[in-house]
Amino acid sequence: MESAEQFEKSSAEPDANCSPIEFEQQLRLVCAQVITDKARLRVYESDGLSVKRTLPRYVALPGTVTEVQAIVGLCFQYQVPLVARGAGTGLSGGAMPHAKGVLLSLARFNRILKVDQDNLLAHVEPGVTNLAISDAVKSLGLYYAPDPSSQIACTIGGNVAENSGGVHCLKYGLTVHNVRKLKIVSPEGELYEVGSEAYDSAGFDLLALLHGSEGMLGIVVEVVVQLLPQPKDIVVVLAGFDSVTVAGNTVGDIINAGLLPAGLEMMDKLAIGAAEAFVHAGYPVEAEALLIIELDGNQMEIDAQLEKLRAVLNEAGANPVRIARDEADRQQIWLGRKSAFPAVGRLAPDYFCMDGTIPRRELAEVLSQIALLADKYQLQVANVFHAGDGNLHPLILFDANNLSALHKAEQFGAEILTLCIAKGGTITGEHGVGVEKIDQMCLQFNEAELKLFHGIKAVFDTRGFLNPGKAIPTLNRCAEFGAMHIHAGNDKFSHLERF
Amino acid sequence: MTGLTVALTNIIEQIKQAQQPVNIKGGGSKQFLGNDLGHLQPLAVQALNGVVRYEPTELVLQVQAGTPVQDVIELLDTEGQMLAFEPPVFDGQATIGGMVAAGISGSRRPYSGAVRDYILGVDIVTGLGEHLSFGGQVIKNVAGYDVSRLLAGSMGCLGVITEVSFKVLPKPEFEQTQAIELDRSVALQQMFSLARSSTVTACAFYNNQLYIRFSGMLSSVQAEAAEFGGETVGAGFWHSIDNLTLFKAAKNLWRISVAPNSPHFVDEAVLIDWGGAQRWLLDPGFDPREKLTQNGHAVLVWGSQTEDKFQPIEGVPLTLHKGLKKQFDPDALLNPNKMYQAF
Ligand SMILES: Cc1cc2nc3c(=O)[nH]c(=O)nc-3n(C[C@H](O)[C@H](O)[C@H](O)COP(=O)(O)OP(=O)(O)OC[C@H]3O[C@@H](n4cnc5c(N)ncnc54)[C@H](O)[C@@H]3O)c2cc1C
Repeated sequence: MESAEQFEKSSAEPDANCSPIEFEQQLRLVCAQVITDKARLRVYESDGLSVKRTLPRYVALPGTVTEVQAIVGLCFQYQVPLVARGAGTGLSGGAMPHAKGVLLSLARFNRILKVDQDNLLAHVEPGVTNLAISDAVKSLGLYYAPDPSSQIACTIGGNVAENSGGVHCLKYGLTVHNVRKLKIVSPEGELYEVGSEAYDSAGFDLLALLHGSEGMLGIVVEVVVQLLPQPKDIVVVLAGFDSVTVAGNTVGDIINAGLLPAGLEMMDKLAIGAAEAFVHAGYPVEAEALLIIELDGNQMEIDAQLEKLRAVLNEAGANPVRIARDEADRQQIWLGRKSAFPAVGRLAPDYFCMDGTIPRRELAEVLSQIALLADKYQLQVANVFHAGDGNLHPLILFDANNLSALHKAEQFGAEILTLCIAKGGTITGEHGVGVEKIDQMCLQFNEAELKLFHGIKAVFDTRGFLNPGKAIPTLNRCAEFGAMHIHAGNDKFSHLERF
Repeated sequence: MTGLTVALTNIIEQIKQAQQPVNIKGGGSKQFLGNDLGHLQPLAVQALNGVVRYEPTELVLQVQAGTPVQDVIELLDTEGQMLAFEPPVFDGQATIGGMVAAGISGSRRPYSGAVRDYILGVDIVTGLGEHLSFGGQVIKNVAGYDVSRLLAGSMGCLGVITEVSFKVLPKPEFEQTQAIELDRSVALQQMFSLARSSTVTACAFYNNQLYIRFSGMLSSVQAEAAEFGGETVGAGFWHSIDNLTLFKAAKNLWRISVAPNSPHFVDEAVLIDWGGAQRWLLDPGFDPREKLTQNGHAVLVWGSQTEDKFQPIEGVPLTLHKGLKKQFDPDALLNPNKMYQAF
């Protein structure tokens, strides 16, 4: 491995070695659609994490893979930072532009190239939206399983780069479990493939490594996704609880009963109220918490599972329990959950969506700590929770025009993440590190682990110009941040409180 | 870090000082895979044995790498849970570390996913003697590059695996396998339509019979099996594929992994499983890798071969493989050239 100094140098931001004007001329030669005027650049200044903004110097909107290769090759040659962008719905600043760099929009790559019914695969371009894939294969009785709440807008390229999840990942997995093959443009501008139409490939699992790599290792220009048959039957159950702890424990009981629901979501009182006011999903606003449980399969499977589920809910004292079998009713229940972010967003000018994941047994403890922190910072927080897989989304409400509130909200968020690590969890379950959680990476990983990450980056991107400064902090940054790596779990001193 | 992992990092440190490459050995059940490293000093990791934490309600199991796969399966069984990728146990010898390093999944793979799909976290000792931890014990985790999944199928070339966390699944209430006599091409077509059933969890063609396993709630499995017809056979059929005992007469056993509808070796394959996507050639008398173009790969599972046994890789991916090896194991001390002579 490289020495520490070399490593700091190689991961530092690259220096462009030609003037901006020269570079723009070259860029326009290889790409027909280039934007440099300020007003139009504004559109691209941030992703879904709108408090982090930067105007890019250039936006390039290629329409062919050859154009992408030429643009990437040019940035490689002149060491100009390059940031890929899908729909810009990311919540961690992954697609935030670089002030001296090119923002590469993949938006024009929006075609579904092939649907292969024998092999249950769809070959799509990276700018195709998540939902467009399922829509395109609906008439064939198929769908694409991972369904982030942003699925109308977010792109499959962005999903791969973030390894996005959705409300069905407990049973059907994340993006990485549902993608078979990628075409990638390397930092040198070379096109290559990883994965295959077979279930596995020779060599290391580069396909897995590229998932969740936040545009730091290569540009995704084609994705082959696995399609699933639509379930024959679906039932959605909404259950209210008068305590968050009981709701949390019921999730464990459901799993213990041998059930593997397709979706298993939880919302707390503030989130329930906000969603109900926004979309009128018929949620029990007086409940402290609710669970949404989706079962799928053939009709007999569902009948048998529903019986077990009813028994568990009864035992737990859930009330009310609403069982939705027809499509409209089911959609209504899901609508409340899927609009939870914008619904909570109406309660304050701004909100941060945190994304920590914890072992579910820690849920009650973590929620009560979050409530204490809310008191400490005098900010409201609503909790939406992918309960089946332990992924919390505390939504911190604040007003970004008030600088001290923004600062407080950021600190609040940071404390929640620290709490998640200390409880044996992680700082991000599905939204990625980007710029938002980069300091907390210093808590989750030790120096040697971070060094290896930089080593991996250098193997793919020898010049360090793809999405520089994101996702993996430099060791200097961690030293400045000044916090110590927290080793959660089973080490000798795990019984000691760390904060 | 446990005392044993400290000991292991010390051993790697010594190996590094002496520049003496090793052949990492769990239960030794899969030594036939890849290039022969019999000339190297073995590094035994079987002592790293035991379950660190098992939380049935969280669907999470954390276990040391030397633990026998069979023990893990039995433990999960007591809670009505399973490793959904149905790994081979090879006479009880296979260990968790070897299972991850070899990345071999069984009959359920097309329907439930592979070893890599269930990995949540992995601890390793690299060729630099550093003990590192990636991923964790939670089902969703996207912090940092996904090194844990990269280690699945890495054949010990990137690090000595010391501990692994998995997602486990509830076992289906009931399973039943049906066999029916069919023409090869008809059977393949059937496999495609069966891939759309939510209760099918295994599908193979062997000796003119199509074998289908249904899993789920008792009532629905019985109904689906009855509708399919044929005769009911035991689960042993799948075990004999997963543990390769069905093929033990072969001197040269080739595993071909292709898209389910691939035309490659449809007629030559002695057994086709994974709904069409995995094909087994027994002593074919030729090297199938040369006939495979894109979208698939062949591996000589066992047999005589002077060169590499895996499908060759080239171009950018080969450069990346060599680069990754350098980062994890710069002095090429851990299973050097196990996969390919190139690294
Ligand atoms: C209301 C709302 C709800 C959300 N709900 C969920 C949810 O339920 N689950 C979830 O996981 N996420 C969710 N998200 C987050 C976000 O939608 C996902 O991260 C999504 O995958 C981002 O896709 P995008 O196309 O917008 O990518 P962008 O935001 O444009 O980019 C994201 C990252 O991917 C990189 N990138 C984009 N395209 C490519 C490419 N072709 N090649 C290489 N790198 C690329 C970018 O550089 C950046 O680092 C939500 C966001 C919002 C606003």
